[in-house]
Amino acid sequence: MRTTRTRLLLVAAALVAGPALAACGSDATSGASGSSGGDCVLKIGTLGPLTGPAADFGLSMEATAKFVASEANAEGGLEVGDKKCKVQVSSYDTGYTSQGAAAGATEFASKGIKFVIGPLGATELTGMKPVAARYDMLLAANGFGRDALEKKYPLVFHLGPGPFVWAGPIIEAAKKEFNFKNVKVIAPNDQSGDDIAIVDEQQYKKAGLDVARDTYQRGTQDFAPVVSRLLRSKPDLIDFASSPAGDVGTMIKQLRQAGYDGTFARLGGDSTGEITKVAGLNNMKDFFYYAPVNFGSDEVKKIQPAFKKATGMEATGISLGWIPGARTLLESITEAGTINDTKAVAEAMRSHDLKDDLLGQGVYTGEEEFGVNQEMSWPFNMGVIKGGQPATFTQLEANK
Amino acid sequence: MGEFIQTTIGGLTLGAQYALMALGFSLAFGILRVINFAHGAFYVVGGYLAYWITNEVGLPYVLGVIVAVLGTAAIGYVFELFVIERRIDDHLATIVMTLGASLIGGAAMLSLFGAQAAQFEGGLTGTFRFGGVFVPHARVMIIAVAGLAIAAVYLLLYKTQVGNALRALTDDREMAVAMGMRPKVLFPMAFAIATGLAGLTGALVTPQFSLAPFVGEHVLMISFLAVILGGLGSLPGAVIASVLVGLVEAFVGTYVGGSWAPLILFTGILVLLVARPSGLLGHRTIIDA
Amino acid sequence: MPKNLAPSTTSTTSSAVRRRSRHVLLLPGITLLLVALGFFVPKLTADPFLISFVPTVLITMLASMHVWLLLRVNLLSFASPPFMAVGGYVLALVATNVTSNAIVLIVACVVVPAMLAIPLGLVLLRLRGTYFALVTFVLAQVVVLIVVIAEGPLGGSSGLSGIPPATLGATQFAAGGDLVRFSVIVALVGMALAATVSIVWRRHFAAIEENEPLAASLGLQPWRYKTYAFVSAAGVAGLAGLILINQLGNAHPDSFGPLSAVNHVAASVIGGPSFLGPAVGALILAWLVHVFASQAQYSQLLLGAALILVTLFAKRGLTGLVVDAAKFLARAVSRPGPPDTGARAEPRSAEGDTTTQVPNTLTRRESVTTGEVVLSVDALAKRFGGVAAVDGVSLELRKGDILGVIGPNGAGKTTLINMISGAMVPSGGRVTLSGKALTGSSPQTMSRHGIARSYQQTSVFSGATVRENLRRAEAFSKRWVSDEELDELLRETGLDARLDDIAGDLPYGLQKLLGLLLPLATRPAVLLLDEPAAGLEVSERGRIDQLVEWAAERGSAVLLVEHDMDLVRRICPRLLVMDTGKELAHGTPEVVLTNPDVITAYLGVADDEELADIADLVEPSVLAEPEAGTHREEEIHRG
Repeated sequence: MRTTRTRLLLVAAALVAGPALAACGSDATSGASGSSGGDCVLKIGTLGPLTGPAADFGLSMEATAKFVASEANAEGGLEVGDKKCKVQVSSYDTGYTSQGAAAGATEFASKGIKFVIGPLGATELTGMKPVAARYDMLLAANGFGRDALEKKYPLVFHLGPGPFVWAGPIIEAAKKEFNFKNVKVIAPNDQSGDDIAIVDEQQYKKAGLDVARDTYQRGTQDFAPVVSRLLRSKPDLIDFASSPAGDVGTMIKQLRQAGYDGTFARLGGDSTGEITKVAGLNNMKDFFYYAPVNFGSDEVKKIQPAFKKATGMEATGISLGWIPGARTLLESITEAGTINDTKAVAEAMRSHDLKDDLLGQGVYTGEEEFGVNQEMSWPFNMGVIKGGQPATFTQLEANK
Repeated sequence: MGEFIQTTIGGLTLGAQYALMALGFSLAFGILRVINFAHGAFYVVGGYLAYWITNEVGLPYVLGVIVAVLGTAAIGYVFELFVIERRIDDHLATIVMTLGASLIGGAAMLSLFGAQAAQFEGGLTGTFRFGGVFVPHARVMIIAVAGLAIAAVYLLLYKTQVGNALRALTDDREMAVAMGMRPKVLFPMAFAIATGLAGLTGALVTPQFSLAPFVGEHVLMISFLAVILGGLGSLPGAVIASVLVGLVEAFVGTYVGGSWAPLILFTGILVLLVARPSGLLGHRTIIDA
Repeated sequence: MPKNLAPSTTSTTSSAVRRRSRHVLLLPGITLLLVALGFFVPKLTADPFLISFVPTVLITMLASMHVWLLLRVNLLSFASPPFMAVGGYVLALVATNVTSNAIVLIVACVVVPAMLAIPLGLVLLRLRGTYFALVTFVLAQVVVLIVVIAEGPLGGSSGLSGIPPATLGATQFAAGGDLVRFSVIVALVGMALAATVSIVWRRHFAAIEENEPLAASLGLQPWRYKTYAFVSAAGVAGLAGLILINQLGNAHPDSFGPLSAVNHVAASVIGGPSFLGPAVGALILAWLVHVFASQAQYSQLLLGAALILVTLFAKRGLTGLVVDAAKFLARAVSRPGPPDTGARAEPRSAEGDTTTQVPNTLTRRESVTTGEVVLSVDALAKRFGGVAAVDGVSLELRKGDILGVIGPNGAGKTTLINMISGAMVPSGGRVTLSGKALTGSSPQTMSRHGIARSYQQTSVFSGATVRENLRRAEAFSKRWVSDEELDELLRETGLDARLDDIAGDLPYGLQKLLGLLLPLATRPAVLLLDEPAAGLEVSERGRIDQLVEWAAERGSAVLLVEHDMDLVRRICPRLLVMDTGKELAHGTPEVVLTNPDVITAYLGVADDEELADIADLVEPSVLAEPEAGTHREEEIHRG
C-alpha cells in the first residue's frame, strides 16, 4: 500500500509540474516550408485507398498524379517564376476512411506538401478538409458528397464533373438508346454509396421515370437476397451508382441467373473494365455508364502508351478523366508563379480557361449544388454496351 | 408464392454455403480448441491458388481446386506443427497467432495478385429453372460438396480410428499421449483438414462471387456467427446455425432490405446469448461457473 | 497480517520485490514523459506531423489500454472500436447540442461508455475467454450498423460533421499545441483510470490472469473483477474516441470499423503486460503505419509476423524483453560468480525425512458418528451427453470426519469433487452444507460457505511468490487461520524457507504442498482433496497425513480422493468405493477392501500395493469415458 501511495503522489506531482512548466514561453509557429534556395522541387501529394476494395480508384488517382508530374519533368521541370521545378509525387494510403485522409493531410503538411491531387471519396474529403485548411493546402479532389465543396473551404476544387452534372444528360441520352420506365438504384449503405445513388435517383425522377432506391450491406458476398429484392418491382433498368466494381459484377451475374432481362446502368465512378472482368461481357449485354473519356478517340489512343510508360499502369477511364484537372493545377502554379502561396494558385485556377488537349473545353460548375463554382466540368461521355458488344461512346456536355 | 419459395431456396443454398465456410473453422475449434482467425485468409489463399492454376498456368479448373485444397492443407499443417502446437494450451495465444497469420495471408495475396478483383470463372454457368424458381448449377454443386464435406467430416470424426484418437486428444491430451497417440502427427493433420476445407470453399465459392485479397473477412464473420449461434465446438450446431443465418439473411434481405439483415442477425445473436450463453447446441462448459 | 508475511527486509534478491520497486517509478515516469511530450513538443516544433503524431499515438494507446486491461483478467476484447464509437458520438452530440466544455465532455465520454458496459458485461462476462473474443468482434459490427441505420440522430452513413472542438474558457482545443495538450490530458485521465483499477485490484486481477479456477475456489468472485475491468476499459476506449473525434471534427462510422480492433490487440500484445506495454505498442504501430504509408500491405505483413514471433518467443512482449535484458545485464555486472539460486540451501530436507519415514506414528482417527452433519450429498449425478459420469452418489460428512473416496480412473471421483466444489453443475441430486441447499452454486459461493478444495495437478499462482500466494488466498477468503497456525503449517510443509521464491519455480512436491496449504489455510468447514499424493515422492507423502490430520483436528470435514492405498488406509476411517459413477461399497477400509466386488473392479488383484499401481494404469477405454469430459472442462477453465 505504501508503494501505491508513493506512486500516486509522484503521478500527481508530474501532473502539476507539467502544465506549470509549460506555462512559460509560447508555442513555436509553423514556418513556411517548400523551396528555400538550391534546386526547386514541387512536391505534390496524392492520397486515396491504395489497398482494399476501392484500391482500383486510389491507384488510378495516384497514376494520374504521377503521369502529369512526368509530363512536366519531361520538359525539364515545371516553370515557376524564373525557375524550373522538378515535380515529385508522394502518395498516402487512406484505407478509404476519413480518419486516414486526415492523417494523410498532416503527413503531407509535415513534408511541406501544399498541393494535393485527391482524395478520392466523399468520406475522405470530409475528414481531410478541416485538417488541410489548417495548413492552407490546396485540394484537387474527387469526392462527391453532399457538402463536398463549401464556401468555407475555398482551396478545395473538384478535378472533374460530379454526378449532379453528368447524370441528367446521360439519362436523357440513354432513353434514346434503350427502352426503360421502371428504375431501381442500388448502392451500399454508407456515405460513398449513398451520395451518388441519391443524386442518380433525383435525376431519374426529373427525367420522369419511376424510380426506387435500395441499399445493401457493404462486404456482402452473395447477392441472392438483394437480387430477389431488386426483382420484386420488376424493373427494366438497374443502376448500380457507385457500388464497388466487384459487387456490381457479382450482382450482374446473379441477376442474369435469376432471369433478369433488362438494362444495366452504372452512373458512378467508371470502372467498366473491372466490372466486365467479374461479370463477363455476355452477362452485361445491355449496359450504359458514365465514361469520363472516349476510349475510341484519337487523343486517348495517343496518350495511352505514354501513360503506361510513365506510371507502369494501364490507363483507366477515371485516371484519364482526371488528367485535365491535374494539368490545370500545374498550369495554375506556373501562372501564379509560386509553389508556396496556395491562395494565389487557387485564384489562378479560377481564372483558368479550362481548355485541354485530351478532353476539350471545360466549364466551372458547382454553384447550384454547392454554392461555389469550383468543379471543373470537362466534356464527358456515355459509354454503351449493346448486345454484349464492346463499348461505344457518345460525347455529352454539362447542361447549361 | 413463387417469391416465397425462391427466397426459401435462396436461403437454403446460402445456408449450405455458409455451412461449408464455417465447417473448417468449427472443426479447428472442435478438435484443437483453436479459434482460427486466419480461416478467412485460408479461404482467400485457396481461391487464389485455384485461380492461379486455372487462369495463369492454364490447367483445368478441377485441378485448380485440387491444388487449392492440397496447398492450403499443407500451409495449415506446417503452421500448426511449427507455430500453434508450441502454444496449443494457451487459447488467447493461439487467437493472437492466427490473427497474425491472417494479416500475413491477406498482405501476401495483395502483394502477389494486387488489390483488384481477379477475373475468375468456374466451370459451371447454367441455371435450373422451374416456374418462377431458379437455382444456378454452381449452387447445386456447392450444396452437394457441402453435404459431402459435412458427411466426410462426421464420418472421419465419429467412425474412424483417427477420429477416435483426435477426440481423445481433445478430451484429455495427457492421457491420450500416455495411450500412445501422437499429437505431433494428429493435430497438424486435423488443422490441415480444417484449412484444406477453407481452401476448398475458397476454390469453389470465389468464382461464383468475387476473388480479391479482402473477401475473407466476410467468411470469417459468417463462421463466427455460425459458431457462436451453434455453440462452440458443436459440429451439428454450426451446420444448423449456418442454415439459419442463410434463411434469415435471405428473408430479411428480400423483404426488408438494406442493413437490417445483418443488424437483426447480430442483435439476435446477442439476445440469444442472454438466454442461452452456450449457443443452440453448445455444452455448458463454456459458461463461467 | 502474520509476521512472516510482512515484507521481508532481507529478501532483496527476490525478483518480485525488485520488480515492484521498479514499478513504483514506472507510472510516474510514463506520466512525466507524456506530459513533457504534450507540453513541450509544441514549444520546440511546429512540425504538423509531430503535432498530429502525438494525438494519433495517444488514440491507439488508449484503445490498446482497453485491450490491455481486459487481458489482465484473461479476456481478449475486440470491443475497442464500439466503445470508441460510443465515446466519439457522445462527444459529437454533446458538443453540438449541449456544451463544448472540455471537462463535461471528458466526463461524458467516460461515463456513457462505462454505463453501457454494465448491462453488456452482465451478458458477455458470463462467456468464457475464447467465446468472449468472438462476441466482442460481433459487437463492433452491431454498433456500426446501428449508427448507419440511425440516420436522424447519428447522421447515418455520412456521419456527423461540423462538430465544435472542446473548449475551456476561451481556449479552443482545435489545432496545434492546444490540441496536443488537450489530447495528452485526456490520455492521462484514461491512464489514471486504468492505473487506478489495475493497482487497486492488482491482486485480484493477477490471480484471475494466472489461475482463475483456484482464485474462485478460494472465494474470489471472478465476474465481479471482470466487470470492474470491463466497465473501466469501456471508459478508457470512450476517451480514445473523444480524442479521435475532437481531432477530426467529424464523427463517421468508418472511423470505428471492427477491423481496427486488430491493431489495438496487436499493439497491446506486442507491447506486453507491463503498464508501459500499450504505449510502446502504440508507438510501434504508429511508426509502422507512417513508414509504410503508401504500402500498407508491408506494415500488415510485419505486424502479422510480429504477432506470431512475440507470442512464441516473448510472452511478456517487448517491454518484457527489455526488462529481461536489463535483469540479465544487471546480473552480469553485479554478480560475475554463479547465479544465486545455486547457493541457496535445500530447505529442511533432513528434518522432513524424520517425520515422513514413519507413516504409522499417527494412529488412524475413529470414524465420527455423532455430531453435526456438515456436508450432505444426496443422489448426486452428472451426465455428459448420454453417459453418466456420476450416477446417484450419496454421502454424509460430520465435523472432523475423514472420508476416503477410491475407485479406478474414470469412476467419477474428480467429477464428484467438481460438483461439490461448484466447478460443475450437477445433472441431478442435492448438495447441502450445514442444512443450506447449495446444489449447483458457483465455486466462489461454495467457498464463501466453507467448502475448499485442492486440485489433482499442482494449482498455485505460479507467477507470484509463496508469500503473495498466501496473501491472495487471505484476501479472497472469508476465513483465515491465525498467525501461529499459519507458521505451523508453513513449517510442516517446509515452505517457510521459500516464502520469497516464485511459486512456479518451486520443485513439484513443494508446489503441490502449497496447493494443499492454500485451501487448508482458509479454515474450511469441508475440505475436498483430489489426489493430494499424486506425483509426490514417497518421502513427501507423510506430510499429507499430517496436513489432513491437522485439518480434521480443527473440525474440518475432509473428503479425500486418492489412489495411494497406503495413505488411504493410514488416515481414512471410512472409505467410499466408486466404479463407473456408482457407489460400489462404503465402510471401514478392512471391510471395503476385502469386498469381492471391489476386488473385481480392480481387475481381481487383491494385493494393495499392486492394486494401487494398477489403478493408476488401468482403463484403456477411459478416453471415451465421461470422466474425460471433466478434464476438458478444467482445461478450458485454465485457458
